[in-house]
Order: sequence, then structure tokens, then C-alpha cells
Amino acid sequence: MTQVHKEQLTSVDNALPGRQTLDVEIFGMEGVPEDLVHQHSLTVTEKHFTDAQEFQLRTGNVMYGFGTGNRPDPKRPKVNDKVDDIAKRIAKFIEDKANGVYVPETALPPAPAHMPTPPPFVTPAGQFFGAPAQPPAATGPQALPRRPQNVPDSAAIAASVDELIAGTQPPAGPAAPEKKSKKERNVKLVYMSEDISPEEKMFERYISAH
Amino acid sequence: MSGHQFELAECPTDHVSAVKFAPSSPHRLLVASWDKFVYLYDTQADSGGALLNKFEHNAPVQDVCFGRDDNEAFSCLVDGTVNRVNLETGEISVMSQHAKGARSVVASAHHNVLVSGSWDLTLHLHRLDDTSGSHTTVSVPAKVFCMSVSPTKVVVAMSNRANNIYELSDLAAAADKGGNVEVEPYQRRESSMKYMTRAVACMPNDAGYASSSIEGRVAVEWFDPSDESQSRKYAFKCHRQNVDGQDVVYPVHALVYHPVYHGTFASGGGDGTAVLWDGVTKRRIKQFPRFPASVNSIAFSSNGKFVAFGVSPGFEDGKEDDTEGAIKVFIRALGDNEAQGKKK
Repeated sequence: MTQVHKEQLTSVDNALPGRQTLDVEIFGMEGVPEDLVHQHSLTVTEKHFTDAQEFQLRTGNVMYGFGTGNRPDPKRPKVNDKVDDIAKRIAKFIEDKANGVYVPETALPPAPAHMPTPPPFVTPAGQFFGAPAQPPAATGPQALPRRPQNVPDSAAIAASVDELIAGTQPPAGPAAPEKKSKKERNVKLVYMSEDISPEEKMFERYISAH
Repeated sequence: MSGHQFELAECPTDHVSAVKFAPSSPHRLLVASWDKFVYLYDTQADSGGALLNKFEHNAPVQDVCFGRDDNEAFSCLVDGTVNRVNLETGEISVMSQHAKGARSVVASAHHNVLVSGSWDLTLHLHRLDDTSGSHTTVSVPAKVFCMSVSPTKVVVAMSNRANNIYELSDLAAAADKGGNVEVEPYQRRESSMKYMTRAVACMPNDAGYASSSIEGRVAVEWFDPSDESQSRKYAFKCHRQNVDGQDVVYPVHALVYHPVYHGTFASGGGDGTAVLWDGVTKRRIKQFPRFPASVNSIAFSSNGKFVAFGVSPGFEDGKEDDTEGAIKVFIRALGDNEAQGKKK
């Protein structure tokens, strides 16, 4: 800190009130204070559901991504699987399961981007429907997105958001050296040695030549 | 004469390890070489300078320095020998013997002490006027790579990025004791650079020193341990070339301060360039025309009007063998204000 600024800093000038402290050290998305992240995600989630409700009041329609109310999706795609294919899939699924190959994520329908609580975390039962490589849209009603009325309590949202964040955060340790190597990738040292000077190398050559 | 540059006519036949100007005459130059000779030139005698004498040693010479006057010199060899060379008579006498190669030798006429540094983790201290061959051994924590002397201090740069700074008066006192003596350094420092220290040069005004590393970088710092002085220290990158988007980084082999314009110093690198820097305003004053090979040693004459460059290939991996026609010593006359820093 002193090396960069050449003076002893005690607070951050022009920062938001309450944020002048020097303790916070943010690198990329790492190091952001947890309570601020939490607060921010809550704000975003609440705003989204408020928007959706407003939209419904104003237009009478359900905002995209919030399901279709009472009816199941009328545009359910046709599934024209042959019996053999299904049998094959079942066989493969059983075999995979026996081998411990289990990839529910890829088989599940992609979670709508704005869903605060994507199915993988809250409806483990839905995984079964997707498991044997079914087409994504063919899953049962369990996988349907939540309706706006069922606004989950904020604690559950926070928990799942935290879980999401934790899952995307790389371990801090290996991240740093990776950055370093990227920075120095295009540098070539003409002479590199930890503690053998060029003269010592020349001396070795001299000894072997004479 | 401004900007006039020429090469010495009779150059060494192997790598030039050191060039040193005499303390009084601005035309008297010593050149040490791996061809086992120390050469003495009068740089102004002819158009290409004249070789006054050459002194054969038993092994390649790693460093040379003048003693109390223009006729006394000291040399150190890769076999660890430290010699006194009488430049008038050509007589060479052994002063001490290190267990491993002696890398650097510095003398202070004022304190009457000669310090030699070696890869055997010792310094040898000698009285300049003592011809009995006695010396004092001081152990240091790592291999000595380079040393530089200021009016009152010696900076010893070693492997493991260690730097010891000694008071010359302490060393001079220890030199009388003989045998093995512990001398507490004035300061112990870790290099402010990440890589091996390659060269070190003290400011002639005794305020601090500059050091360079194998990774194209020069750091300037001050002796004064106060926070105010320490916060002035800085480092910068130099001797680098961008080749096809790749940064090729050369070692900075040579570093020397200008004796008259305090704050001006010169650096020489493996890229074959030498650069004059203004250490006060942190500006580059000028870059000298590129030399045919690595600049391994630089010296300013005592009046600051001439600068000598020892140029030879290698000292880096892979190029040591191409010695044909690339081993040169260049002398350059500096213009009146050429080395003067920018006016503030």
C-alpha cells in the first residue's frame, strides 16, 4: 500500500459513507464483503418479483418465465421415441448408474436465467425425470418454474444464492499464480538462474575447456 | 570531441570482465579480461589509444581496481587469488588466496583498505600499504557477486538477493586484526528486486546506491534508514526488447555513477546497449548507439569527461562461444553537458 501511494492512507477519500475503511480488498469478484453481496442479491430478487407483479396487474398476462398459471404448457413437444430407443436408454441409464456415472445437471432443463432458485437445488425429485437423457422440455410439472405468488422466503433465496456464489468461486489459492503466469507469459529472460552468476557458469566452461 | 567514440586498438582476446579509469589521469584505463591479462592503456595517445603494458596472471581476471595512485592496481582471479599489480614495474605479488573464485575487488585510498569478495562466502581485507601478505577474513552469508565503494561505505551484493552494507572505517579497523573476524554490517538488506543481483554502484555523494538484476531492472535506494529516505527508493525496467510481442529481458551487467554530476548513472545490458540515466528526475538522458555485443562493464574517467565500455559476447546462456570480432573496449568523449541531468 505504502509502495503504491507513497503515503500512509487511513481512509478512502470520496467513498460512500460507511465504506471508507481500508480493510476491504476486492480482486475480481473475490473479497466482496458477504453481507453486501447478500444485500444486493436480495434487492435484485425483490425488484424482479415486484416488476413481475406490476406487469401482471397492468397487462393481465403472466411475465415470461413465470409459467402459465393453472394450465400445463400446451406446446409440449412431441415425443416419438421408439420402444427400442427407450429400452436402450433405460439400459444405459442402469449401466451408468451401476458405474457411478450420474450427471443430473446436463439432463435437466436449463434453469431460466432469472430464476432465483433453480431446480437443481430445490427440487431434487425432478432430477429423476431428466436423468435418462430425456429431451429437456419433456420433464414433468415438478420442473416447472415457480409462480410469482410463491415468492420464496428471503432466507431460502439467500441460502441458494450463497450456494450459487460458493459454487462459482474458484479456490483462492491456485487463482493467484495463474494470473501471474498470464502476466509473464510473454516475457523471456535471457539469463535465468536462482543463484549461479554468469561468471560462475563461464568458470565451469573454462575449467572443462582447459 | 563531443560524442566522439572510438574503439581501443589492441583489445583483449577473451571476455572483458572490467574496465576502470585511474583516480587522477582521465586517460589511463585498466582492462581486465578472461584471457588472463590486465591491460593498461593511454586512451589519448593515438587515435585508437595506446597499450602501455599488459600484465599476465595465472588465471582469468575477474576484476581490477586502482589503489592509492595511478600506478598501483589490484586484481582478483577466478582461482581465488588477489594480487597487487605494480603498473610501473609490472611486478605482481599475491596478497591472499580465496578458497573459490574471487569475483570483485574494491579499494579505498582514504581508508587505506582493500576489500576482495569471493564465491567462498568471504571478504578479505587488506591494508593497501601492507606488503607482508597478511589479511583478515570476514565471512558473509552468501556468494559475493559484486561490490561498490562510496566515500564511507561498501555495498556487497550477494547471491540469495542479500546485500550487506559495511562502514569502511569498520572494515579498516578489522583489517589490522588479521585472522577470522566478525564485522557487523552497517545494514543488512534484501534486494528490492525479485531476481539475482547483477551489479551495484554507490552514489559518489555517499547518499545511496543503485543495483541491477538479471531481469532488466535497476533499483535506486538510500543508505539513510529513516522512513523519509526509504520511501524515496524506486526501481524501473530497462534493457528489454519487444520481439514479436514477446518481451525479451536482458540482464543489466554494468552500473556506474558519474563522478561529477551526482545522480547521473550509466547502465549496460545484455542487449548491447548502454544508457545514461538521471536518477534525480528519473529520466533517461540518452541511449548510446548499440554495441556489437553485451556491455559488461562501464567506467567514467575521474573528471567525468570520458566513458569506457567493455563489450564482449556471452555472459548469457548460449552466446559465449561467438567471440570473433565482438570483444571490444570503446572510449567515448562526453559533451560538456551530455551527462548533466535535466534542470529542475
